[in-house]
Amino acid sequence: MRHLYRNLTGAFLLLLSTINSAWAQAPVYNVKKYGAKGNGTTLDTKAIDKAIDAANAAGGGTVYFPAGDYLSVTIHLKSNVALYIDQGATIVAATNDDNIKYDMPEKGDNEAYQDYGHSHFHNSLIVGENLHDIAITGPGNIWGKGLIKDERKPGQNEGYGNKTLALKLCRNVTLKDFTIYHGGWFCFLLTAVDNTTIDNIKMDTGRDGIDLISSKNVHISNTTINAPGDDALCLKCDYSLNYPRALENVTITNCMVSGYNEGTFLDGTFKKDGRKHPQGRIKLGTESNGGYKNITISNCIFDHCKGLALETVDGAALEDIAINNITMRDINNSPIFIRLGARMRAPKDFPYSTLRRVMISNIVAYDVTGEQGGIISGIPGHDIEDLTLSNIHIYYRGGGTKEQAAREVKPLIKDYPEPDSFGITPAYGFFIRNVKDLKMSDIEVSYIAADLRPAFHLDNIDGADFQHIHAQKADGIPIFQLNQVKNFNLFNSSQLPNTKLASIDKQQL
Amino acid sequence: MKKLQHSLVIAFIFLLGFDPVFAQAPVYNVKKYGAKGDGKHLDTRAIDKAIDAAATSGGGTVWLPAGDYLSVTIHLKSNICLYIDQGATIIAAAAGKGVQYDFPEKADNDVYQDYGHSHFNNSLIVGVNLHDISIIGPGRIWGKGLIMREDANGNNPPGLGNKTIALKLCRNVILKDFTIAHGGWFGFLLTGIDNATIDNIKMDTNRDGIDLVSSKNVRIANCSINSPVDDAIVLKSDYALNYPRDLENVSITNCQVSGYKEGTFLDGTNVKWSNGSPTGRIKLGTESNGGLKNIAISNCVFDNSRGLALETVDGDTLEDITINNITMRDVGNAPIFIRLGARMRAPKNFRYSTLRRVLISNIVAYGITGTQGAIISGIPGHDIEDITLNNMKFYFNGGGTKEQATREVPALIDSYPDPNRWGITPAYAFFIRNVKDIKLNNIDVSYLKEDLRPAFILDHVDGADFQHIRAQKADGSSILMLNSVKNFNLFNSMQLPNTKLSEIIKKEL
Repeated sequence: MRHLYRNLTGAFLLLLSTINSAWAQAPVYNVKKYGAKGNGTTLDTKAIDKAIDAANAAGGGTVYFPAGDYLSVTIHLKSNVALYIDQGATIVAATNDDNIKYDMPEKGDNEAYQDYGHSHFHNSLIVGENLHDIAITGPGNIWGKGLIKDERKPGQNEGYGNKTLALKLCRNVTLKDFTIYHGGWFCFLLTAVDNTTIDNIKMDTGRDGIDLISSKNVHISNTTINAPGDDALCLKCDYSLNYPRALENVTITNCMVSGYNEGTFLDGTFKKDGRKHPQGRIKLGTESNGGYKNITISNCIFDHCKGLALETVDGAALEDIAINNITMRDINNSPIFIRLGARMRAPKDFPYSTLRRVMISNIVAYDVTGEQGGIISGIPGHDIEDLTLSNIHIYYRGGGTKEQAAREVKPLIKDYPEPDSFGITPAYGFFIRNVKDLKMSDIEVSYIAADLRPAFHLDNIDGADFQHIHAQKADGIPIFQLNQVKNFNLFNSSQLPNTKLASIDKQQL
Repeated sequence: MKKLQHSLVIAFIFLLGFDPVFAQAPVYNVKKYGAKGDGKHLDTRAIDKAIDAAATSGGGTVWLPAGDYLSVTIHLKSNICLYIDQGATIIAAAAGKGVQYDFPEKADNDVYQDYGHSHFNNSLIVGVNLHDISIIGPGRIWGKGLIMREDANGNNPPGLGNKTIALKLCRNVILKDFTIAHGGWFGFLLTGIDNATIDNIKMDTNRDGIDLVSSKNVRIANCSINSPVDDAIVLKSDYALNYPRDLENVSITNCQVSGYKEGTFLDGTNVKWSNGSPTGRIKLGTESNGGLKNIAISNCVFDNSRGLALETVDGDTLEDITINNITMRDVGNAPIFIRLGARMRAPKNFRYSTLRRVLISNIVAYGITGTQGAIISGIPGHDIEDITLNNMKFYFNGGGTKEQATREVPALIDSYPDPNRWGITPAYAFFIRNVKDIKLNNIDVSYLKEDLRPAFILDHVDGADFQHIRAQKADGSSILMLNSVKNFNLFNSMQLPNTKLSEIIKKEL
């Protein structure tokens, strides 16, 4: 008997090892094994959660989605668990009804200083909170079919899902290789998610693509986001944690953003007739309480969307940013928008924002709206500081008039910081206001249709160093309109003599 | 004891009972479908069977475990991921009796590009009109039996394979992590491939590495391509689809190209190959019917190869390109070659090419051939427009003579646009002809051995803005040689006084 027992044990071990070596992927937790149907009609949430729990209980592992359509409401991630969405597999967000409900939105730690969407995490297709060492990978898809993308009337938000993936207070996170279609309010809402890699993600969605908020040490690469209805790649530092937390040490490279009609990115038709002003841009902002620091962005492409936007309006320090090697085509508003404002959607007595030490270089932008030039604007008493723009070529559509050149732009101190609220800018190339220490070198602006506005409009500037500037200009139109400018220096610009001005009230060059 | 035994038996049976679970293996192991992986049997059918099985059940991962899979044409399907495991190699069989690749299809068009670009089916791995496909995993593909060109009589007998991977009109594609050795005419021929990511690919091959043709929204990163006798990473827009299609929105970063002796990249010996001039470069062109638009390239390394080439010669529009942060060593010809020509390998009445809005910055190149400087050249009546070169340091091998300085470079209007056709350039650093609006800024050129040619020759240039230029020069040689130049401006360059010339026929500076 003892002998048999020994044999049996041997066979048992042998079997275990055989299975392990023959099916090298045996260690994965196949959601189908845990009851998922993957038929697109049965709700697979419980099975998926069970697989995640099993992996987590065993110390972690990979929860595997083979090909199939996994209809689901809120899936709950756990630490040390990776989801692998295989090619051919799609997690489909169910449409909620009386029986199908997403997790209720938690009482937000803070719901006052950012929109509903940013304040709640639980009402999402996939959610993780206070986790570490998690991953979602694999070449499969997530379709946010049943997700809503905005608020319902008060009291009606319960049971709805509005985000594809919401992570809060997590660390050591990898998100890569998968595709999101129609991702609701946010495809990724990542708030305080540290030590994160986001690589090779595709999104084709109705509102924001990636919202990375109050997070540290994050690297984003090879990601393509089509988001005609809202921002594509968005860095924020809001108040949803109930305290301000700086977003810092973030790199973005080799990404593309666009605003083709939703759905036409993934189906390969790339239609551009859906919206007059598609969004789909890279933006820092709007919510900006905690701070944005130490950020690099390089080698990115914009097509058929809004321009690059750097905004701090709610008290954040936005500083130490380097942006390099960007191409843009078909841009429907300000190609570069740098804004310090005082919306102050923040607790009372919160300090005003600061915006300084930003360096932007090597940009080519072609076919940019004739309505707006680049906009760089602080507010009276709160200048943007230490800004360097170099080696930038922008080709506008042009068509501006003399009347537009004389247009007064409202102060817009407390406004929502959207370039559109500035209206038509009185300069076709750059409108610059309330800035201290600005350097622009090797800048070339031109237009396709004749434009009767000056190329540069400077208003309330202290310290403007322009070198090697070239601007297309119509006869009789100045290149520079200077209002209240101190310490202006222009040199090495073949169209104009070297010029130093200590302080002037109003002058054209 | 009996009890223990009983429970052990149950456990045993229970474990056996897992078999069906593993039988719905998460992946489609090609060995299960009959592949031998012994390097001798043709495993094509088994691999195709595994692909078909996965495809019929909605997609999935076809897994190649360690082994050598001899094969002819493998047929991809939508929603399929091929996973080539570490230790696995797909080997292209040598065609022969009973061993035939798919015959080349009747091409949509096989007039305006070479045979290799016109046919897709005669490849080791082929996919046409597919979506959501990937080839991943750290394994290898060895194009052992692939041919790399027409036979000695210029024929292409059917049954032979000449490309490792050929994809046509596919979208949502991921190619990553694997290695190609000896890939035939092309490692990748990707024509009309949208929304693709190519990441962490190594190639050590006999002709072109990656040919990305008429494709949109493609991210390329972390690739190392050794291709001594042809181009490494090539962007084209040919006529193989029978209509011109733009290549646009492509970003390339963190890649390396080289021309070491074939095989010595993967075996780690990196033997420099100086038979003629190893190719192995990043190039836009030659085939250029559609358009090459909105392209960003950064952070790439060239070693023992030709220089960076941007060519449009067949009627396309090459525009909105930004290139940044490149190092090159041991460069066999023009370190930068920008060419608008009129080869016009295109339907009759096709319009001439345009080339404009190119920004290249932050380049260090060392050990550049003494025979050629950078070449930037349009043709009479068709200027290259709006080129900016910024922050470059070039170290040439030098050795040029006074006789070479007076050499007339033929017009080469309709010739093939390779720098080698230009012969020895009469300037050691930059030969610039038929260009409108060029800026050179912070450019420093020098040589290792004394060179008696001028640093820069400008010929038929309208609008030349040189700032902060420094050029090593021999006694009695000039820095700039100007022929038929309008609107020339040189400043901030300590070797020469600031100089403005509105129009001159001939002048040395």
